Amino acid sequence: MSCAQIQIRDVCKDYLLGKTRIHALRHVSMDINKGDFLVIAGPSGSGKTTLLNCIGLIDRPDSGSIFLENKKVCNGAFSPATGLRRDRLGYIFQTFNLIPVLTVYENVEYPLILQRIDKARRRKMVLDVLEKTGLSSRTKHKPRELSGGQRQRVSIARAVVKNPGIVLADEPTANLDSETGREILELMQNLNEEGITFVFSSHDPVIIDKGRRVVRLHDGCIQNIEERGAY
Amino acid sequence: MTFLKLGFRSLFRQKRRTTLTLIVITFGVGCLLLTMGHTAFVEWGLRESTIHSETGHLQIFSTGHMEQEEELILEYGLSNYEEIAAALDSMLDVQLVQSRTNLMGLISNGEKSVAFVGQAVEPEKEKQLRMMFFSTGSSFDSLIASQHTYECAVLGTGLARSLNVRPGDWVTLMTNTVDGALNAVDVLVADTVKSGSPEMDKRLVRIPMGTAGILLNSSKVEKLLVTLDDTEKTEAMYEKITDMASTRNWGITVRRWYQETLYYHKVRQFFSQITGFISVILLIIVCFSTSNTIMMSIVERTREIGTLLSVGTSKYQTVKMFCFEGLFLGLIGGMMSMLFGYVLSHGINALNITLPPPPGLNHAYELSMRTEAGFYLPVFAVTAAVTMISSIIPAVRVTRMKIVDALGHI
Repeated sequence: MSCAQIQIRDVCKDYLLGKTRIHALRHVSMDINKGDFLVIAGPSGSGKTTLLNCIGLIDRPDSGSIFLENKKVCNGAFSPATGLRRDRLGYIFQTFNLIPVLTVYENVEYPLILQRIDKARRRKMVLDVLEKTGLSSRTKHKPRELSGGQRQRVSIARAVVKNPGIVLADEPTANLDSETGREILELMQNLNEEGITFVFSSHDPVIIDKGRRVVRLHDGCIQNIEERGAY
Repeated sequence: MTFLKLGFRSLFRQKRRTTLTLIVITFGVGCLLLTMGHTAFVEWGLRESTIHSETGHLQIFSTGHMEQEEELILEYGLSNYEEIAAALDSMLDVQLVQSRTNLMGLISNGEKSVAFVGQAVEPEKEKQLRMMFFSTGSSFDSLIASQHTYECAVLGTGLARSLNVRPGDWVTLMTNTVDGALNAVDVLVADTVKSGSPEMDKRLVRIPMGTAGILLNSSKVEKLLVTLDDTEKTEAMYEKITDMASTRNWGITVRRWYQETLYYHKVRQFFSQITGFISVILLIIVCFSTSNTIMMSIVERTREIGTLLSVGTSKYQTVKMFCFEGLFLGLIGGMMSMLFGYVLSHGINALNITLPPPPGLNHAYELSMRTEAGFYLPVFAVTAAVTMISSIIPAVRVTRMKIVDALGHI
């Protein structure tokens, strides 16, 4: 029995681009431990997003296995995957992906509604996380009324509000200026210090430097795994 | 609640498209309400005019008349009709009780004889009966004026033309008496009338009950007509009179107006078929329009749907969200349609438009629409249901999408 929170074993994933088969992931195996602040690094097309999608159960590998807390999850039916996404995994998207018709408060509250948490508790949880992410004064704003950095903060708040254990972020700073990107990274580091596992992809050397572990991908293969121990 | 909120708010993202869809629903369903309103008016008019000219709300025959074939006229007529009429006249809700006898025979001007279809009536009461609905009963004025002076008759315009007679001329009516003997009575042509049907006008003769008594040599009548103050009370009054008849041993059978009006049922069925056909077409248009709106909405929101699925929204919840969106579209569209239909109906009614006579009738009729909760509310409910159901197919398509594809959608 492994103590890793996520175990990835021999995962392969191919895409067809017209008639050409693209090997996005080739026999990838790695562990993600609880409390990790792990960066998946690599150039464009190296398979970072595909790996992240497979870990996050929004894509399925062609072969291989993914274990979440020692339970095999990658070949499950849709419904258990929905449950895991709802309860155990949080997502941060490069393009924020907020629901435009909902306010900041409602966007953050949404995952808790899916979990059927009662209203009073929900309110406390949402206000707590909005406080942590510096959005207390923006609760009633719609996403279109926010800056890019603020939108990404909402996205982070939405991902962590349910205490998911693992948060996956696909190039979370790619659409932000360097200063805002640095602030977002600091916010993620602070939340990581509270025990949330962060797995994110990036090809920005400044961001990669902040990772406590760095997995470098090249042409769908793991090139190396760097253990750093500190941000 | 969240999915209700999401569905409702999503309607207002693309205001122009939602407005266009609402216009289609409003116009389509509104026109359906106008059609149904006019059909309801025609049905109501036909019902009330039939009741207030032909059948009354209830008709009373002797039991024998309904059960056996008469060999001679009035063989099974009502002999105790005065007693029955007096008892019914005193009942609450009864407005009028009158006797009638239908008869057939020959009418002659001395040179030419033709067959007639006759109605023996009580002219004052017939006038009253028509006044209740048509606000005129002048076709009986001449009979009322002449009946106590002469034996008289009112002829259909076609029959008068055929015999070349005018008011003031004399004609002879011939028919069999209750005993089977041939009898004839000279009658003054008091007036000529249009019955509404050109075919009927070629045969119609109306005579007072007294003249019929002489002609048929009988004091019996064929039936009594009972007219109530409200058609809705027909069933209740039917029960009361039936009970009364059995208690008092009258030996009668009571028939309700709709049991005596084959024509009304055929017309009603005809209109129901037309309205049904139009309804189906309009609802299909509404269905496609709504489906199209939702489909466009899905294509536009593909990435957002991917996000919702990726944070743990289930297939069922996603379908529910789009169904709510369709439902809201239907509820808003349905309300707008009812308002549109109501305002336009009253507007058209205020214009007092008359339409040319339809085939088989010789008088124009009013273009009028009724606005009744009886069909407005069901149409509203059906609209909401149709728009909701028409959202299901596009919504189910969403759930077939791979999340990763949805997230990558541009």
